[in-house]
Amino acid sequence: MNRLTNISKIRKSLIDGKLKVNDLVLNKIKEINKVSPNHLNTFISLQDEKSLGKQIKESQERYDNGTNKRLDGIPIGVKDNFSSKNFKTTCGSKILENYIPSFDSTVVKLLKEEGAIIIGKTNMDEFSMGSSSTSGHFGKVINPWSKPNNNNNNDNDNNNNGEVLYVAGGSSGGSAAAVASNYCVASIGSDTGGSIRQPSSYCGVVGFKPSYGLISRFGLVAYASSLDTPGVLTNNVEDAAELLDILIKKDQENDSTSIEFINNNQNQNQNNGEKRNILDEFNEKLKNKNIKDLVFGIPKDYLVKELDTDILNLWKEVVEEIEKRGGKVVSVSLPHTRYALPAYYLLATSEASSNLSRFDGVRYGYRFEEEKDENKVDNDNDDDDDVDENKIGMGLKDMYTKTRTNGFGEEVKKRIILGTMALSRSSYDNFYTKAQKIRRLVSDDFKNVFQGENKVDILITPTAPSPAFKQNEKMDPIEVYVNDIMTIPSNLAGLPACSIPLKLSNSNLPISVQLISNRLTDDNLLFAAHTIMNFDCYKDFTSLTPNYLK
Amino acid sequence: MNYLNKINKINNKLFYSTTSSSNGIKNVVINNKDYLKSLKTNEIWELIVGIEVHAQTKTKEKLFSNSLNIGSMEGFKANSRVSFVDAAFPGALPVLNDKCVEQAIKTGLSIGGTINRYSFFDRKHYFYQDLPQGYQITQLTEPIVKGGSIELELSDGRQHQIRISHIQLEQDSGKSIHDLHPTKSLVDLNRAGIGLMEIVSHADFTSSEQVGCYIQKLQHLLKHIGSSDANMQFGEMRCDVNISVHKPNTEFGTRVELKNMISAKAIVSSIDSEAIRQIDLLENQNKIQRETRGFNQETGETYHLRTKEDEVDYRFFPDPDLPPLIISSERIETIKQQLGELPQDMKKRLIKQYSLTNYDAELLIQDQSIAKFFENSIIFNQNHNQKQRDIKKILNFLLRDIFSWLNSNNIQDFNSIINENQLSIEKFTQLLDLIEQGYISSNIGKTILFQILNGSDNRSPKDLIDSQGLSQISDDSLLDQLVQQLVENHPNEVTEYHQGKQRVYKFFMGEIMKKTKGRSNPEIVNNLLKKYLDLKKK
Repeated sequence: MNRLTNISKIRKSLIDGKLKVNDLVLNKIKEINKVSPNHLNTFISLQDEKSLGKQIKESQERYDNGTNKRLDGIPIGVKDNFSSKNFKTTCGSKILENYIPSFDSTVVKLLKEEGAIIIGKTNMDEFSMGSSSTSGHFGKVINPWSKPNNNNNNDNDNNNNGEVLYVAGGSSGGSAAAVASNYCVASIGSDTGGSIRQPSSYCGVVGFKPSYGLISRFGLVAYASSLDTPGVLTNNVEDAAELLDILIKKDQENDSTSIEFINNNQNQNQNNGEKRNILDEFNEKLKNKNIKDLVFGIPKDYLVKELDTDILNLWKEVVEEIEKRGGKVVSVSLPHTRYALPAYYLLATSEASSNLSRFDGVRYGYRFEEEKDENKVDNDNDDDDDVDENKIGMGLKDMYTKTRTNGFGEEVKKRIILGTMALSRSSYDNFYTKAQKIRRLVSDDFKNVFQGENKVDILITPTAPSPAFKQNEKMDPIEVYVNDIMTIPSNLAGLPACSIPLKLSNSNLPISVQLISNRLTDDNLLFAAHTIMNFDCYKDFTSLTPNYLK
Repeated sequence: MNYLNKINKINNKLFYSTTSSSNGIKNVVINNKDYLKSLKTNEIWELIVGIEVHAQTKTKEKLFSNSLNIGSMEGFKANSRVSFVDAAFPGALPVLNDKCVEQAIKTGLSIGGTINRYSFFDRKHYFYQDLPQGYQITQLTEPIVKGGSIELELSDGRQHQIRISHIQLEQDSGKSIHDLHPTKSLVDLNRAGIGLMEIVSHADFTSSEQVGCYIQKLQHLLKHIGSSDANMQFGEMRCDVNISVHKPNTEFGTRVELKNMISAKAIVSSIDSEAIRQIDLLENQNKIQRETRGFNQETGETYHLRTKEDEVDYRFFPDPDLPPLIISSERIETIKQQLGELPQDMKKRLIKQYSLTNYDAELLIQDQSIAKFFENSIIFNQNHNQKQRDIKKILNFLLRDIFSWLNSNNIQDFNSIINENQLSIEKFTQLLDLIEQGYISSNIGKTILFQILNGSDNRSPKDLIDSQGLSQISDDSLLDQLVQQLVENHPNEVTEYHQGKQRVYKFFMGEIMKKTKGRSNPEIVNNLLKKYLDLKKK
């Protein structure tokens, strides 16, 4: 297994004929099922053999006749909340257990257009509501950095065979674990409050959430529309840039919140509004710029009491390494950060309570059916016009209640109820409206930092307060919510943010930092991420093989 | 649209319900204001009504999807005009149809409202089988149009102004069908997601006549500017009514909402009926309950639907899938320029320009295409030095003969008969000119007109006349001979005529018409008859 291999190298091997699409793809399928079928439970469904065979054949033909596209034959995992034509899309929920869409999301469509092979739909927290990928209807995702039983680990929480299982993080836990395990070359996730970055950090991959609106949400099953951001999970920053270049495309035909990638540099008015290409800009920066051209900001407000020592040390270390290389690092203040978490949970759940009301059992997905009473014999003769009320079955209201009660899991129901409360007539002003005001204040905090006197380019923070936690660890729900404290503010402000894995903690779990930049400076963020990941002290991380796969 | 009814409405003031005295109230006007008088107690009551009109936007596509907008028309296969957005499939997103915005702006400008440069969409939540999203996208906080007014002309000549609160753009719901299956409800989403303009009035109505008048006027205005077809019988326009009564100079009463009225007539009757019910309750010391009621057209009474307490909390909040709707002042100005002449301005102009009666002008502006046809037929193919065609004659054909033909053939749309195969402007004006030239009589002209309208023969009027030999006999020598012979052959009648029996003159006329099968020019016959009769005078 060589996780160092990136998309452009794989493509080169395919073009040169050193690698065949068939071997590339089937090897991934073999890996996924090597120890046991769907070993880490990273996928909810895998592409069927027939369809896979057809795509492999077509891709290989294009390589053979020199007409290959950018992602031809490259196996990609897609989170199971992106609608995919004729390919089950469940959102990790019983309510969509057997739902097969008739249309592709824009993300899936763009990947297919470039020849990518959607190898499978990755496991997730139900409707993206969670930070552990344990709440879904299709079971928990196992973190590939879990401790196998040969580890002589005597922890009390051990399973019977002595292994210690860790969560993959969430909600895009399947996407993160699949990339970390080399089950696919890259994967697609969605990030509403950290759902790409936090599992990326737990599993040790690059997780990039672009500026809100750059990647179309069309076909992404909504959790919280104003926060939901499609993004990518990759082994390295080059792959992220390559995928973003394909996925960033204005799509106003299908999504009114979709925007163009334009110049947003407030300091250089002359180019404002100009259309840009992210890959070109990224490559240009790699060529012509270095760390000295960037100003890094350290928001002291992210120093929370929950912060793990290993992570705190890494954060400090990154600052030192940057300064060692001549980069400028300043301390900044984002004073409203501490209000971001409660505001997020009100806004996200409000929107969710609304977005999820379409799952009512009427048109698609699961519908509660009353079990047929076999003993009851129909004695009615046919010419009896009177309809027996008792035989009509459930009324509409009853059907709704039972469908939604049985179709949704506990966490989803909890959040729907919270959101319904926040939007109710008597609570709206106190909850929803106040949360919106906080959202504006949080945004303004960032604006002040990026456009203020220091002209900060990149903020550096931890991605999560801790490394991956153990499966089955009993946690207070509030404590679980705190997991998102570092990632939420950039969703509230619609900023690009990415998590980059740098090393292992003392307990041999991946730890990462998060980089955040100003809106529509995603190219700069890629450059900074690439630069830091390639520091001598960090560049070997991605060559490590996760414990559980050894 | 029923053309004869329309005339009747205007003639008989159908909406003026002075005849409800048998039911216990009577409309009275005191100091120019409308009141209700209770016939039992002789007490005076004031009626307060506010109206919410839902009009479907006349657009090719729905409000947030590109599926075809077929309005509320029946006859389409159920669920055949439904997109993933309309049916709220997972991941589908709304994208605003700019044409609907344009129709709302047009409507707003035509009532003198202010176009909101910054408006946005809210979600209104409730669960129902024909509401796929589980919410309706509407505009609660910042609607697209604010203010405006409609001026009413009441039957007794008084003017009454209704202020418009706002117009909001929103989605229509699907249709639930409960009578096709014994135990199941069926859902048709063809209508789901069609754009609606909800036109909300202030509570400025004080009589049911005003309401009837308002609905008619609004309907007419929307059709005129083309923002909605506004047919109530097809459900393209629907009304909710808020109604309360109180004693003059006291606080307003508790209001009751009347839902889903399907015709202007039903609305007027329901208001009368509900006013009587409320007055009855109050006069018997009972309280009015805040509730929603329906109207039973057969019994003519309103009935309880639900109380306000039964209503769900709609949990309105701004739709996060849709950015704010920002409209530039340039765009508003452009639409204003393209709006054209509004019905009231057109009416004023027609009266002034052609010296029309109020009545004729009112009929002409009922449908913009009729007014256009009228004006066109005055000058069509006439160069400047030729005189204009006779307005009276045009009006006679248009408002009497064509209207009655439309009505007896149950045709709703005047425009639909204006074509090559039926009544083109060329054919109509040629017919007028042939009558003017004396080529045919007015009576024959009418026959030809109906032949043209029936559309079985699309030849020109001239060809139709000639092929049937219907042109007038203007050949003096032939008529001269006929008249002379007639007078010679009826010496007794000639004597009677000279003794002063005028009706004998009609006998002579009739005989000539009989002989010429109605094709003789009456004027010439008249002159000849006089000539030969006078010759016989001794």
